[in-house]
Amino acid sequence: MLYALLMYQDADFDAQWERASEAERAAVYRLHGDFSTLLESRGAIRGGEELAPVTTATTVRKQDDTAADAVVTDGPFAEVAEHLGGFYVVEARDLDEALEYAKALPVRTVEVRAIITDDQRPPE
Amino acid sequence: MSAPPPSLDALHREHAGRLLALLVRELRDFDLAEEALQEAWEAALRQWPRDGRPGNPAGWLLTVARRRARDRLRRAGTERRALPLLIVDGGSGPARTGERARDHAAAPAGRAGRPTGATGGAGAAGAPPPGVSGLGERVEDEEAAIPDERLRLIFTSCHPALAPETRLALTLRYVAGLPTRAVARLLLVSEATMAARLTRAKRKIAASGIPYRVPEGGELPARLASVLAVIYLLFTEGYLPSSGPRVVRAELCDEAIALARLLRELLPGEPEATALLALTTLQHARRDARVDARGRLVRLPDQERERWRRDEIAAGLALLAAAERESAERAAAGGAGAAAGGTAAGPYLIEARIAAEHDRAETAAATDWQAIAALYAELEAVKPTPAVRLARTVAVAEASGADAALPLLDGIEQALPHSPQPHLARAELLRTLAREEEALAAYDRALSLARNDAVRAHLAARRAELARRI
Repeated sequence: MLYALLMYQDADFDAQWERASEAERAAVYRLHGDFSTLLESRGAIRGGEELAPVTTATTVRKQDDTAADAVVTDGPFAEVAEHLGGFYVVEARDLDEALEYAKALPVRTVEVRAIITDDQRPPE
Repeated sequence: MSAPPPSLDALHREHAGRLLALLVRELRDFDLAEEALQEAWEAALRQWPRDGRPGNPAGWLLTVARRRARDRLRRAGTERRALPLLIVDGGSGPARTGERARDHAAAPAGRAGRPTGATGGAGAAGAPPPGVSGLGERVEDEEAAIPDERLRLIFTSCHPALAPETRLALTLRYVAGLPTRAVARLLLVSEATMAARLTRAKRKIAASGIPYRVPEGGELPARLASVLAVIYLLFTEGYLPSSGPRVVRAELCDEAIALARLLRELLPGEPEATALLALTTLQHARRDARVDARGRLVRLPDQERERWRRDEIAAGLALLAAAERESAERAAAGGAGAAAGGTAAGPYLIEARIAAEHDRAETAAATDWQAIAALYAELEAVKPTPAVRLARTVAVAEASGADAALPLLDGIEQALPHSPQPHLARAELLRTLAREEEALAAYDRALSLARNDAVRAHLAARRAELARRI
């Protein structure tokens, strides 16, 4: 199965990241590098990205899913304590293996969600 | 005269969990397995009174259920293919059970593939043409031995990715084989709420990829701890219900003990499984003395010990001895795959020792509180929770006096903000120390939190007694 590992950071993470020294940032990237190496060694990596700080987010809202008009606002869609900071997409045999990867991530909160693949959708 | 054949109820009790566990493995779909098995029971109800009971009822039911599942899949066609299937295998090493009987039918054809063909060798030969099945099932080749897949069912039902109340519901519904209505009644929710909870749970299991397998090696201790916790939570809900009018709900305790017995049978030599059965047996043996004639809770020191069930205590002590042996063997073997707590005694073994200390005391005064306080200290080392600290406080008070115990309570009220128990413990200690005003205030705090009617009545009585005296 494919899983998304959604990494959530505390609201003040971006500010801390701004203040962090080169060495501190390099240390964090090294941890993610180690994680990627783990995934590669098991043939599990399918993708992943780091997102720009949540303070740079822009939200587009419509009356309903297919409405023509949209309202564009500055900021994330909801004011919450933790923000999505990035994600990995991994191949895992089951939730147990996906959870094992999530636990190995150098991030405080990780939400694990299975990805719906084409073969689970009704045929055209 | 031979014994009368077991009733259908007894048959259901004996075989339902086992048949379901196997069908879920073969069909990789809880709902399909349930529906097919339900139809098989209905066919049995119609047919057995007429044609006589087959020699191997479970084999008959399995064959018919497989056939009905096949019919359903044929009728449903491609519709069902969009649904995610349970992940049945995929472990790298050998699983702990069932692998010898690795099922011909369970080999998944691929992610989208469903076992639309024969789901079992046994059912294929005698399958009637469509439309005939309603007239009667001809089952010629009943399987002799049904592989036991219930451990998979247990570990999946108690998976940590499910909410605790969901684990309880799944375990009662599928492992214990109770109807949804009965599970709802036991867990004090409406049948509709319970049905919805079970549906959501099955959907999460399939859609999130919670596997239908027994965890291996390094994963096993933590996962076993989750299973043990579910069974013990069920027991404690019966032993001391957190809400409602009753002081003991023995039917919950009975279910929990039956589950503990099953777990021990499925995991022979696992010290914590044996210890859980010992612990629940030793505690449940006191049930008749824990409630007085007016339905009020009777505390351990005030219980009439002649009302304890001596035969059950003897059985519990024998189980405790078995758990001690298994734990020692595990430690001697180097603790590979040891239960939570590594090579040391696990938490359930220590709790069973504590229960045994109480059960062995002929009178309350004869209780070896020094030993019990020491056991609680050991328990706190492997399971540092506020509840354990609370119980240890009570033991220390008995062993060394309220003075020594009171400081142990600091911070426990904050750690258990919804429980009346820490306040009750503090009230009793303060009372012993003749600090009556503070004791009354602690009783009041306990009363404001207590939701079980019997506990409330007990608190009110203790408070009134003290208020009269000062």
